[in-house]
Amino acid sequence: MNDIVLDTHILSLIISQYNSANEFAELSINNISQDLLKKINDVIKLKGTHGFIIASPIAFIELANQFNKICHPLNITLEKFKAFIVQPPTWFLIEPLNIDNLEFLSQVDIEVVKNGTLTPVEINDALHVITALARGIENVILGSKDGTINVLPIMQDRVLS
Amino acid sequence: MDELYISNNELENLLTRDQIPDKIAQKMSVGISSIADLIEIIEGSRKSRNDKTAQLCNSCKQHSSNGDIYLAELDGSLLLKNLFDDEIWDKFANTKSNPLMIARYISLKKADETIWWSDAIYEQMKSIYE
Repeated sequence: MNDIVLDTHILSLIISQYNSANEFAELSINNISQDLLKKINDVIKLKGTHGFIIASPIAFIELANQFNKICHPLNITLEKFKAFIVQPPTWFLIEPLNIDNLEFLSQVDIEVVKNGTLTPVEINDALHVITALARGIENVILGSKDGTINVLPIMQDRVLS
Repeated sequence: MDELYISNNELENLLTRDQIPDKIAQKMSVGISSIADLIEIIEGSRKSRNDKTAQLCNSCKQHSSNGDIYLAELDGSLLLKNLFDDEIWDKFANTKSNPLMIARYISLKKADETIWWSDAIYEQMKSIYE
């Protein structure tokens, strides 16, 4: 089982590319690494039988919060955004934000050294991280382009951009 | 039994100092709070470099099992029901609001009959934050 948890930015790229009429079609995304894209397409090809693509409710809230800024340039209409939540693909899960998952926050550093500077880990980023930790660190990849998440020690070698 | 909205400060007092509002202590009411409030309280402890994540989560679970409080969590079903609610969407979409504030609204709004608490909880919460 190999799950891929997405941060808000990469979730938006997936929604943008996803075509509900062809649920298991390979995605083609330019803005992420070939390695991450391959892993995402592997999950889709296996129809979620060997792992899921996952996001936190906070990722969807962040997209709503900046809908015009993030979604409009990607041609994500409100109808498409809503449809993705109403009827997500078989290979996609929204991981609940619950008290059991919050316990993992103690494993996420409050700040990291990024480009030589001590930088706080924003709570929204920490919530993406605990979504990954809740799935089991050995079996999860976190897809994120966030420079802070990428240098978190707890996610060492588990983040792909 | 009545329901009573438990604000962020009240939840923190309950979880860290065992200060239980009278109506709840007397078993006249059950307190309802949002997962967003617990996140903010945990984050406050982390930022003050006194991480109480485990203690706060354990205390919350204990008070939940005692029947003192119910923590409204957030899942895909509730997200679907309430993120696109006219009032919530119009209030928060494209506003760059704090996502935890939006999570608070989504988790507490009585979307349908599967939510067992009354509309009054949501209104009590709004009266604090609006």
